[in-house]
Amino acid sequence: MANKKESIAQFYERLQTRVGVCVFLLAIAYAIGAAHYFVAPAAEWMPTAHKLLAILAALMVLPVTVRAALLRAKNRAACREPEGFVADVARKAALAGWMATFLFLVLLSALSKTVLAGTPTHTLVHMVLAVLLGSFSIAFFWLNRDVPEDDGFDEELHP
Amino acid sequence: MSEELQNRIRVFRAEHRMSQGELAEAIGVSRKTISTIEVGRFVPSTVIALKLARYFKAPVEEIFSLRNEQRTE
Repeated sequence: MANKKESIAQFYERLQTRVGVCVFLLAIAYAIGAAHYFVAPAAEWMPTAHKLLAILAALMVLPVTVRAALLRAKNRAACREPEGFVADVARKAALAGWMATFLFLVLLSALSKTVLAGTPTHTLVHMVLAVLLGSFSIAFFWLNRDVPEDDGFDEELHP
Repeated sequence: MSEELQNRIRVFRAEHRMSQGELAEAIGVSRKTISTIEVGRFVPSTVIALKLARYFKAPVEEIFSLRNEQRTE
């Protein structure tokens, strides 16, 4: 549940921001997974780092997701809030992620017969997932930046 | 970001002596949502606009307006 000082809207915003961080961690995990094919066996730490990052992302997002589900079950009406700024940012970031992935797939289809010929499928899938998740999370945090702090109310406007 | 839509939320907040956080809690959105609407970075949904109007007991047109709006009166 959202703590006493935190409204449901604030809690959902925190959940969405945390999901953004987890998506970024997963993007790094997949990038490491893809890079391992090209640099192995020089970097034996990579599979371990890949797994650790994936576990860390799951540990970060699971507790708040469970709390969100419990909150929704308890008070469904209150959770039906109008869409706010962060939800809008997530939607725009998803669109940016989709576009980046599409362009990357076009590039990949061109390279798959030349430079990347013989690359295992799972490495290619890791590359695509890294681009998808990475572009989503970078767009999410870029669009979410520099939000002004609470300025209270302006005495000059209504003394 | 909208260059056309302008709003008077800050003025209404001052009249009601409310912070962004207090207004956000009153209408069930996050403080960041109010803050970004005020500076014109986020165009609110109709639901949020109507909630603001209901809270301030004012018509939506008094809170939100289009820049260079042509008045017919």
